Amino acid sequence: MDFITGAFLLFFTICVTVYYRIPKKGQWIWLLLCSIFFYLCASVKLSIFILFSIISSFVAARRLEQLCAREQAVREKTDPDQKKETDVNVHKKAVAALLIGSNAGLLFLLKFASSGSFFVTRLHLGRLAFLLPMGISFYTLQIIAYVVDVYRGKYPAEKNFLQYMLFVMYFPQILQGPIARFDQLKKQLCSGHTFSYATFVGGFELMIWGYFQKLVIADRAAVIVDRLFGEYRSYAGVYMLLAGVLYSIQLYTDFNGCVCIARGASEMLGITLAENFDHPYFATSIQDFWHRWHMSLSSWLRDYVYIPLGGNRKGKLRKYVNILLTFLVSGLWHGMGLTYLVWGFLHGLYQIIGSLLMPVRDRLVSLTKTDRSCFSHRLLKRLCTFFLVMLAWIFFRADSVTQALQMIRQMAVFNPWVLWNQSVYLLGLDAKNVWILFFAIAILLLVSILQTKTDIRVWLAKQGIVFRYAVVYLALFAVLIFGIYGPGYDAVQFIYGGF
Amino acid sequence: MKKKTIVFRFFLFFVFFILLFLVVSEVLKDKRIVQEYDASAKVKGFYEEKEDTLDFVFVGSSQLYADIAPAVLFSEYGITSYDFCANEQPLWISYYYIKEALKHQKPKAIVLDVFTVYGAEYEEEGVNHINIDDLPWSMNKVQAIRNGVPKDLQYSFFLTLTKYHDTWNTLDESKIESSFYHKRNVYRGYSPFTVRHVYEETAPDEVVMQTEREPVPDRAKHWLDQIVELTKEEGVDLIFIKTPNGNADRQKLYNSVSDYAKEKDIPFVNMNTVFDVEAHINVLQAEKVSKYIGGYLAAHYKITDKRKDAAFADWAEDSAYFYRKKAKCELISTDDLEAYTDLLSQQDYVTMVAVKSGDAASENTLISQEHKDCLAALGLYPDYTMNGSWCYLALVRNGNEPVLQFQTQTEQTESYELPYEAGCLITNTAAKASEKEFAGLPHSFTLQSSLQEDGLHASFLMGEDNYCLDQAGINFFVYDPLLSEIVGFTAFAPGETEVLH
Repeated sequence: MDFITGAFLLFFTICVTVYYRIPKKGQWIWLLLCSIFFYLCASVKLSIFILFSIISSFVAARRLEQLCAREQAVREKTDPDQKKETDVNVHKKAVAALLIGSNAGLLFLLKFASSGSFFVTRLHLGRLAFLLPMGISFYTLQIIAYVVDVYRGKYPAEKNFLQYMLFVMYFPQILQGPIARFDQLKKQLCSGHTFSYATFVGGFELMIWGYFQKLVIADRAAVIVDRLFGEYRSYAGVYMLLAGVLYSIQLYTDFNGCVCIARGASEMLGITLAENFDHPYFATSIQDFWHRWHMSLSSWLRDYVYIPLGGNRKGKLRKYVNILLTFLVSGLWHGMGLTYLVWGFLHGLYQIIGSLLMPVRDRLVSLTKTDRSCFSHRLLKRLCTFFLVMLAWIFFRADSVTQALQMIRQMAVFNPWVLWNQSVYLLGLDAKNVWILFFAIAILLLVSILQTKTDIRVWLAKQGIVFRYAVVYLALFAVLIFGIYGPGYDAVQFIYGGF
Repeated sequence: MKKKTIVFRFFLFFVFFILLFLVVSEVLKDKRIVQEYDASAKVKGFYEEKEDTLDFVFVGSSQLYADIAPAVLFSEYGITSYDFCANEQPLWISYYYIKEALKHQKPKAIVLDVFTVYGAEYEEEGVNHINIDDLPWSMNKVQAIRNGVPKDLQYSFFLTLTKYHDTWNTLDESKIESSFYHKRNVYRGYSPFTVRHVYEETAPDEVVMQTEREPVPDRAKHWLDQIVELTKEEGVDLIFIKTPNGNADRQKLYNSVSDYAKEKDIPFVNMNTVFDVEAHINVLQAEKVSKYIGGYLAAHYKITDKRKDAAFADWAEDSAYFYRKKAKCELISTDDLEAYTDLLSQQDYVTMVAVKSGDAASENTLISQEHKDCLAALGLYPDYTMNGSWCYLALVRNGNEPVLQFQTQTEQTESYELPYEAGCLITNTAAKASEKEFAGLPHSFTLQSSLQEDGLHASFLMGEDNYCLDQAGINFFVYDPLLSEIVGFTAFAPGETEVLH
């Protein structure tokens, strides 16, 4: 059951209706039941994996908490200056390593098996391709963060297994995140919530915005993107640029759309999930991009990969190595193909080159007496950043590194006229649909600019009910009419041939 | 905020949402009101019939609505009937059509065409939509969806916007105007096909001689049983028919249906072994088939003749449209000039005529006496003695009343505005046009001669389109103001009495 189904809308309506009708104390149990049902709808058999992860991490965290207490006791008895590693410490590390190893290993194995890669094909492991449990990429990171935090003594381990289970399985976020931290989410999940009209309506509006991004923009852009990537040999120049730009928009609106739906649904239940995107294509550098794109993953990688590797504390060279390793892990997390590794590597490389070229850039700015805060300079930086990110996305989307390189090479052809000689209407979308896409992207841009200046939902809440309803209806029907969903209409289907 | 206020706001929001949703769904829904496959007009038209006024309800697929003309049954036997059909209708949907029919009518019998007894699987998605979308909401419709549509697609039948939202890019004024379509169907569900075709007198031998039997698939058999059961429960007779389709293979199935009908004591009128056919038959052949089944029904049921009943005056009026279609079909099936002009003189068409001499003066003689006689039958008398190239243009109404005519050797233009005639049909639909709707139709006719480098040219303009074949000899353009449609445009070359185009 994904968010783009009538079944989900029905399920969620029932969930939210019952949720506010039961005592606050019992709300978390209802959420847990809903989450279990939501998960079982995907596959009963594959639930074994999430159950393993929940039980193993719950037990490991409890054990780690005990070991932490024992370690503390040992420390208190011994000389605090003595930094010798105790048996307890070793034991603790072993438990954490076992938990992380088993869960990360499982994630790696299942992703590998489902990747359809060369090895999988050669080893006749095709049947394993079905074995990718729903949300495994997200909940695995969530439980690893939880266990590491308990290991570090950041907070105590959860004692209530069912409440912990809810933290891992909470249905709005299990599909595509955001990757929640235990200390941020658990209290909200279990504390119970009274109905708030403002929060409820705000969540609803956020959901519609999510559906708009996903169904009107992402799925419409996908038609052109699929054509250009699928038949890339037949296109060049502006077409390839269009492929890159539209894919960048598709990926953002697809992912952010689903996260908005998740956050909106959660808000309607009174539970605030963390923001996952902060207008990433407004970033003025690659580093800035990663502070804005999939923020819950970026912060996870920072806290649980980059910093443990040493971060920037061990010299410049080591810092660069750590950046590269972190982005390679990020690439691997996204997929098992070489293209994902290259994508991760590119982002690492961008940051290293950016850092190395900093003195040169500073010198240039100083020579040209450019005001770094001026609009044109910021715009140039944004465009350059977007272009670099877009190039990397081509690797992310392409079937092979060779294809990506070929597509980038083909960008060099000069043919801007395809933008105005109606050629873009021959890429799978007719003229009217291309204009709807263009118009919807313009709305996205406008909303994004407004979001940087004000909270649109708060502003909307202050408006009169007629205006507010009109805006909501307009958005709702824009999704219902212009969204790409349903069995699809094909006039030929109705042109009567047989009798 | 008070709880009452919140509840009121939510209520308001949902009520408006549902209203808007219904309107948008209806506006974007596929409108199947263009003949001949106007399933929406047929199905919705059924509900416009006065309750308990139909003697028979025909249920089935397009092979039924293309073959049985209720207008013929009424004109010949005083029988009222309706083709309550939709394309390739499977039996499991026919069952609910019968239930719907019996909710509104008390017919003497349900006449079921057994074309779809081949049905073993769900029909195609498009066919299901054509069959189900226009039924009004009731438990019958819900059951038709549940039994007739694969589970994963059922939602798009309950919420049609999920199916039709993509049609926003074909939205225009006419689509909005035809939303919430509810008009009487003057053909009573029949589709008048006016194609030119010559039929044999009897059914093909391979059909008549077919004795093999092919078992009716279990699913179709189950629904045949259900239909038999339903009509028994409702106390209404059931008649199986098979309209002719000339298919010898399918005849094997109809032989099995014949056995089944005997077993259940249900009459089966298999016209597949009686008539020759070419897919959806034209109006001329449909008249024969309709007379055949009408004769059967009149012979087997005691029917009150409603032809002279004032309460059924609209039936007599509506039957005229069938006969206008028949006249159209006769005209386009005619190659002979004399027969052609004879048919023209019998109807109140808008007929535009252009008589063109040849380029050389001597060619004038090519306008034969036979041509002259035919033109005279339409009230047209060009000056055949005029020297040089000339062109005679005329517009004739009511068979032989020229309302415009001129003979010229240069450029000349004259126009005629067709007045609104109550009872004319909206082009291509089976609904009568209001004065406002009529205003939207092209009804300006212009006769034009123009002198160009290569000689004199004649034009028949309807709106901005020219329909004149501009041949030497006699050129015709025929428009039926009652049907609001072009009947034909053709030409007879000088000295020829056979149609040129």
